[in-house]
Amino acid sequence: MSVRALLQPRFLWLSLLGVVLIVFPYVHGWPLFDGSIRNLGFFTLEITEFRTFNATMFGVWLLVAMSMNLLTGTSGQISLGHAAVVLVGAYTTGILFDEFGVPLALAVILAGVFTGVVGGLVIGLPAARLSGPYLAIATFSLIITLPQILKLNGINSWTNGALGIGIRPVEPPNLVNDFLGAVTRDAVSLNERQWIYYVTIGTAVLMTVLLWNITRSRIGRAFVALRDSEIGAEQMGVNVPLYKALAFGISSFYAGIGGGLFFVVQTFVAPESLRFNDSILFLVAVVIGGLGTILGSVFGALFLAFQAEVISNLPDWIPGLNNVRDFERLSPVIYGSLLIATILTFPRGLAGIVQSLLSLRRGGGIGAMDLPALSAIRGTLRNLSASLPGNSDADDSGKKE
Amino acid sequence: MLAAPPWEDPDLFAQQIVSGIASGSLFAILALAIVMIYRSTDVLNFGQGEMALFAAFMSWTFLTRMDFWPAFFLAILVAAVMGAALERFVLRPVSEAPVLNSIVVTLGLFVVFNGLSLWIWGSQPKGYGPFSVFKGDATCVSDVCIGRLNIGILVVTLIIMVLLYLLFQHTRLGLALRATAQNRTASRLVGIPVGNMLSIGWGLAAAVGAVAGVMATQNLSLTTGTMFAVLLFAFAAAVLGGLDSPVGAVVGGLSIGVIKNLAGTYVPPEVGSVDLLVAFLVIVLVLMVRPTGLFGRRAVRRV
Repeated sequence: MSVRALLQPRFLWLSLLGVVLIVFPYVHGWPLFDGSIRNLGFFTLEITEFRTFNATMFGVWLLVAMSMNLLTGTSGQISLGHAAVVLVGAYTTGILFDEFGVPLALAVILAGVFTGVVGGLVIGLPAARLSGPYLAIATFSLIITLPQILKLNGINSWTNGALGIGIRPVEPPNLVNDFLGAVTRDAVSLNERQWIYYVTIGTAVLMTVLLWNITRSRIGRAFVALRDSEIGAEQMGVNVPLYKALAFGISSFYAGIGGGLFFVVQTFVAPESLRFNDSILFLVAVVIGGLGTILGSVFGALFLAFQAEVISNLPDWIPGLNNVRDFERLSPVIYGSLLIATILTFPRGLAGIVQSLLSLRRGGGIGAMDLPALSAIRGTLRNLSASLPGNSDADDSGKKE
Repeated sequence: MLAAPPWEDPDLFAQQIVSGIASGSLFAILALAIVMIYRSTDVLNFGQGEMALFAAFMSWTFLTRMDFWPAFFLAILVAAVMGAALERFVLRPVSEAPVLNSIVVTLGLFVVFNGLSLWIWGSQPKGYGPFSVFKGDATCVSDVCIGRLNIGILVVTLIIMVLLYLLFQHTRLGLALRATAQNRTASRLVGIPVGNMLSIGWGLAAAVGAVAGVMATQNLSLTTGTMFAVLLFAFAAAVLGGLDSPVGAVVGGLSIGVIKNLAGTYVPPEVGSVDLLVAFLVIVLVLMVRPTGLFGRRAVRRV
């Protein structure tokens, strides 16, 4: 790589992000971030040790969000059963480790391969014959039924029925800590939390780069063609059943790895660990984040990692909400409304907004800013005025079929 | 303990069929609501079950203030207005967008209504038991019995079907609704207010769904999780009958009820509970073998 390439802003930003990710598990011990700033009377900037776990879950959710986004955003295939695929990944890891003594790292990879093959062949191939609504029903029934399947007595010896599978937290290998000790003269050693953080974030970064390359390859372009028009894609020589199966396969591979890591990070999985609501939450995440882009998946993963905390803290931040009883129960209402509002106003999500703003800065002008919100608001106003009494004629003529 | 096979205990078999039809009529009503919306607007409403749940909770609240029948009809009326409003303000803006968007919006409705029900009515089960009309001794023919409540649900299903049939086949409004479902542009050209028809369609479906909700809670206790399974069975019913066929929805619903009951009786208990699994298998089988279902039509689309 030339020096010039190393000085590109994109490269600098990425290296900065890399440094932040590497030092993150230690930040909580640093003077600036341990809450001392708040003691001086400034704003609160406190990063607790618990944030390492948060960030680890972010890595897991990033894999899940990318998996969902590849399938729904890039390839245009809807799946309401994505939580089921993640759950199968978690269970496969657990069973391989618990029953067959497979090393955990290998078990996670095998779980990914297993869900990938199963997702591609068992869901993907039949899905080639099914259009949107039917596919939605099939995947919906999968996630509703999976807990009952996992509780079947016949496979009880593997799945432990309703009790689920648990493991102890993963210790960092001696090799790693010996090496770190030797290099830093015993200044640095990893605990369990920090070790699983690095493993998860490392995997997530690797798989992000991989996905980045996939979406820019022949396969990725075929997926987009499939999404935009199946018949058109076929005319262009895309083998539709093959690429649909591939979309499900690759997506399920990511979901399986994510599920395996979910199990390792949470150290536990049960039939109801992930339910239909989580499937919807994944969908909400990628829609709000931005369909069809990796940036959108990153936003989506942030949403998945922090939505519960943010929503439960809302009453502290917004004064009027203190009086609302059982506020935390409203969280599905909030993310459901967010989902509908996003689809109605910003179908391209946060990533779409960011991209529009960037193109504005590059001198594209306001015209280059594709903000569906503006036209949506205009459209809604027109519809509203049309639906007022006396204007009923305009109601229908304003819309095209 | 394995149940005796039908040829040894025909009464048990007949009993399961009868109870299956009774519980299946619930699935039939909800499937009917799903099919009505799918036919007229091409939207698959995942929120249907939760909208029905919300209506059932409303009827519970009304019941604490009035008799059964006023509460029943008031809940249905409110549900209908709600359904029409949802179509107008939430679904219509995405009617021109890809299928994915409308499915995502109905999923949003699903979580919103489920969350609202939980927030308003809490997590304690609300049982109001069978209402007095539906109480009383079971009717028996030899050893096969059917409870008053099940008869009631069957009768209500029949009434709904007859009313819908009369509405769609013998009124001007029904004609306009059918025309809108078939070809919006042509309907608009002959002067049918298409937008209003779509809203009415949603309102009707929401009302039908509300009936299913109130009836479902007559024998299940009412919690925010009640409708998940019912929605799955209703989808299985709609898929089995054909997503665009009202007759199919009813036949599918009754069949799913019977299949579910038979599986519950004849699958050995050692296997574990399989009621959801059966619905899942029906959906998968139908989609693999005959995606149009028993009565559906294959959609051929011009590019």
